Amino acid sequence: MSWLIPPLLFFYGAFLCLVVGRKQRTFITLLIPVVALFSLLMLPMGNMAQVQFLGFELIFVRLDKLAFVFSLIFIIAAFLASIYAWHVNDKVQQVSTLLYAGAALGGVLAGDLITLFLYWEITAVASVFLIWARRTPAAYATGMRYLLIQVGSGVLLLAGLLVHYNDTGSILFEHMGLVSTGTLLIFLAFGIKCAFPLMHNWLQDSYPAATVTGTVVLSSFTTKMAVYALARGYAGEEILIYIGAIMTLFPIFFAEIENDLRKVLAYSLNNQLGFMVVGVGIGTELALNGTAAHAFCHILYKSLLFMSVGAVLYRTGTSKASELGGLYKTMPVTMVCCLIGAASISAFPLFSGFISKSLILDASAKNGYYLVWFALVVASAGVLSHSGIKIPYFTFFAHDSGKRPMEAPVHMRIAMIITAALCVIIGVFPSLLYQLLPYEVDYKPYTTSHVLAQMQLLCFALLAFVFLMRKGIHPPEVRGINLDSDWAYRKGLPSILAMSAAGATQIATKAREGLQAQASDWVFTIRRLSAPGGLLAKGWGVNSMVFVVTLLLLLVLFLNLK
Amino acid sequence: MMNGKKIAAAFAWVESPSAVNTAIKVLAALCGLLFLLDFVIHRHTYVPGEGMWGFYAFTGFIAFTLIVLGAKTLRTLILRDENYYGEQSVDSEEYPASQLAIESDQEDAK
Amino acid sequence: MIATQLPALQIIIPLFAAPLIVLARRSELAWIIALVANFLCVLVAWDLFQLVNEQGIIRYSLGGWAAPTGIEYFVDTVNAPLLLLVSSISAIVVAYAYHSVKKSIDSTKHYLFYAAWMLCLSGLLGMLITGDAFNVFVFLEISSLSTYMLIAFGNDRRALTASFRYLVLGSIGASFILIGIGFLYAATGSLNMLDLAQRIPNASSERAILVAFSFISIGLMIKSAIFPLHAWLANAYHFAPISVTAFLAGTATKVSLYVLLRFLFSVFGTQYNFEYLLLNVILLPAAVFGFLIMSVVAIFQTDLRRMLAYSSVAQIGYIVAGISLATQAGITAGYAHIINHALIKTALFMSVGCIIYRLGHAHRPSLDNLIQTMPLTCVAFIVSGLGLIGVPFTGGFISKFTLISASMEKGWWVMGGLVLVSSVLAIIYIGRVVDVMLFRKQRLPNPMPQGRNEAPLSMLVPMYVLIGLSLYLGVYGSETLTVSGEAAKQLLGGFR
Repeated sequence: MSWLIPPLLFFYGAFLCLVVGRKQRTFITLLIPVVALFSLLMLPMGNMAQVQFLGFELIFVRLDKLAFVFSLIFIIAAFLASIYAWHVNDKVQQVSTLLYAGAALGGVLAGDLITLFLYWEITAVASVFLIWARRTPAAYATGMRYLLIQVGSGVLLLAGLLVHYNDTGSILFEHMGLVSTGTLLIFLAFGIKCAFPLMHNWLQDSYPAATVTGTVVLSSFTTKMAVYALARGYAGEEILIYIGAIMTLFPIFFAEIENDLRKVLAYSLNNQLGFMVVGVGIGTELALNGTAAHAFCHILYKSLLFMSVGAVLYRTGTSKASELGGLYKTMPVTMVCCLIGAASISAFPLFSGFISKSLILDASAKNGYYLVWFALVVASAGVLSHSGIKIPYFTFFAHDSGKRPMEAPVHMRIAMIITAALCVIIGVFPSLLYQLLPYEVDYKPYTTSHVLAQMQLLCFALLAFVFLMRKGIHPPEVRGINLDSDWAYRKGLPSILAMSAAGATQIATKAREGLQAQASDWVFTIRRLSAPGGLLAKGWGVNSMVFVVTLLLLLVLFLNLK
Repeated sequence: MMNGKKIAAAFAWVESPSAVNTAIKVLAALCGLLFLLDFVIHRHTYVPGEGMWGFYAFTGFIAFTLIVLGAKTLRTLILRDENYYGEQSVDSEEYPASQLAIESDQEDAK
Repeated sequence: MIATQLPALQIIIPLFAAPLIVLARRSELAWIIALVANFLCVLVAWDLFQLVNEQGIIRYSLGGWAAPTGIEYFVDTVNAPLLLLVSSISAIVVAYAYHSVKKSIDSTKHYLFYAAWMLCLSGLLGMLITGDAFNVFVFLEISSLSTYMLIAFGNDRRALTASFRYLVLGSIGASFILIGIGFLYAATGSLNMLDLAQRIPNASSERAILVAFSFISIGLMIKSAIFPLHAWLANAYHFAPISVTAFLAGTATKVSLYVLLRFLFSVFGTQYNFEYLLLNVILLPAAVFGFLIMSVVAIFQTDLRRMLAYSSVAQIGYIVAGISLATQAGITAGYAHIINHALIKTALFMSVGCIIYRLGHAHRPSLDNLIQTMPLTCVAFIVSGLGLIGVPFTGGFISKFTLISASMEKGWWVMGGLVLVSSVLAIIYIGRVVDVMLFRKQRLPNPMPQGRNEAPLSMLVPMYVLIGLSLYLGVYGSETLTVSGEAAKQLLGGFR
């Protein structure tokens, strides 16, 4: 049985995809999630698939209700993405999708930190191929940046786990809390993947660079695995509440002015993560239920939005708001699905976002975090602005771009319709989701006052939108990019280096040779020494080798005989 | 495809300015109604001030406006040309068309 | 009957295979004899390994002359695994070498090549098995002289200079060892290692012991290519025939490291102050600078053989770092890395050999998109490369992980951190190759043959056997660690 655990099933599928032909591959990508779902449902609660490794006991499956709900939605997301990607005939993408989904699932089921680290790194390596599959030089560069940060997160995790193990003698992946250097390092590793403020930019940098289908896959797993990891290890850590609150707020502004709709969605993803992080930070049963529920709903509606924007990109060749508009005429099904996704993320009553977000909001209010609560309310209005209105409005309505693309292919429509249906079903019958949550739910989302409050918030925000559009205050969509913290390493650092080199030349023209050689070109020096033929790398002559030997012998003799 | 055409037709009103005006009026009326309901229905509250009349209405309107204005200001600071990062960025390139199926709806394009 | 003679057979089989090969002359026959002899060696080593595990130490007096007068062979948990390792690697590489040798070496010299190989193997096994200090020197010379010859078989004209430089350095190393042994003999009147270990504490002149110790360690450091005494290695590995490189990379330096371990811990014993001095003042910095500097140098190499050669020096740095900790955990880590690195590096050089077999070179920038034409070879390189980096579930991870936790256990956090840094450097140099192999568009005009052009099966199969072995030891890492732990216990406890 332990050879049939869900993550392994995905890996088997990936391996099969490597060797079989196109038709079988497409079939396998669909089949594996179904089989994995059965496997997951058959698994008993508790630990299994334990393996002795280096004297550690690795627990490959630790199933409890928290892990179950995340595993379930990961499998569903993999299935939906596979339908959506039915047309893809690219071994690289299909294999990496399965590997990536399997590894994310493995990370969620991991019962110890070493297993977690293993899957943590596999998700990094497997997912980068979804970016590289775009096969352009820019995608390659973006993928490299992404990979560096993701692997860096893994290295932090490894360092943290070593220190933690040294401190406590345990590698169990359970509640840790921020109590030591080790747990801090692990926390930072989780934080990078969870796109904490200032560690977030890999997300907005890379997701818009992935392939049409790749972005849908990417959006589901990495960050939610990190949310799960935080919920497992750091529930109730107060700093998370504030980190989360900031996360819900700052991406709104960027999303509002971003032109590339897939990047808008990436910012919006960041903002939604903020809600989940707040839930983890509060750490009560209600809040953790909220985090799990929100992750569940979020994966669905975010996939749906990425799917619809992806379908537009697939048919028109662009996802830039300034180039789109008026597409409702020829892509009506995509438009309706997009609207359902938008309504869900904006948390309109009867849609999925409403029944999950309110758990977190109520938890923050009940525990007295009023300021945080208010930030979340404001952020909710913000969500409406960039995801609820901007995405559908500028794509399908607004000014007519003159583009008359074909409706999305049948399989994409099927994927979108199923996802949209799930969003609505969860919104209408919240108890379906609530019974899956880690703790007992005693919560009624559909109370008069709750519905009324939410409708007031959203309708007035909508009114504000109309008002601002009419007055011409709302910023138009223009081509261009917006700087974010990635500027620091993409532009800042290189130009500081260049400037310091230039400055050095100007200030000390006299000592120019010396300064430049030392200050600005130490890399060059290492290179010169190490490149073939350099001092360190050339075949030393007999004389110099013997010289070194003699020197060392003298040193040893001196040390020994002094 | 028939369904698609019907859906598109159902949304065709957005082309007509008068219909849009009507829609806006409906929205405004809805907002008015929701606002008035505050005086009728007592909302359960946890947070001080939350129970104030029109709390959510004002928050929604003002927050949205401030976000848009804030973003607009931000844009003046950070907007750059698409080629700012040069070849290292996907913003300056077209999505490779070979991986897409860019097609126009012939029927509609005529 | 045979069982009692196993230690002698271990040496005699390859030693007698050599003249047999010379007599046979025909190259196919020579290869078959070498292969059969080598597999017999593996069997013997396997039996010895089992015997030691069951019965403990085996002492065997050569020719019936009892130690300390006669020469004694001595098998314990320290050298039994290495006997198995060295003979297995040699057997696999001999199997692999057939096509590569046929292509690159003049067919009239094949018999000499395989004869030299067998001599070299018997020399290496002899160094491992013997319990006699002078005998170590003799076997060292046997293996060294045949190594010089093997290197000189290289196609490149520079192979001769490389071989000559190695000869000079190697001879200096060997003479140092001889001088050291001479001093030891003068001070104690014995050459048997066990005997030495008992007599050294009561030796008449401590000064002579110190001098002996210094000479022997420097000599062995040269032979083990410990930074900064590594300079002979890059050219030797670069210009030797690639199968020889694969063989030497997995065995020669490792055997010298074993002898170093033996002398440091078993013969001289751990109670000596000067030993800690050597470990902390010379070996530790050498190890740390070695794995850092040499990893950087490896990044900039354009020839894969050279890159892997420098990487070898870096990896030896890890081993020495483990040794210089001088704790149970540290030596376990160093010893485990001897095993893992031997397997991984040999596999890497074998995959480079496949590339050279088809392309005639191993120039990194010209390997664009190699995955299309030689997928199996590329996969072999990548999998072994991951092992070199130390990705979980490969051998490299096991030993590095143990090394890091060992250095933390001793409180040497900085070293643990530097090992991680150097792993990142390894990611870079392996990554540069993988990058070219997988992602670089083929340049025009197309310099490479179109379509699949994989190396012959006779090269691929041994290579994958070795990779399978190293992956097995990666997944079941605790077995390596158990063996290494036993070895470390034996080393630290002195002869028992």
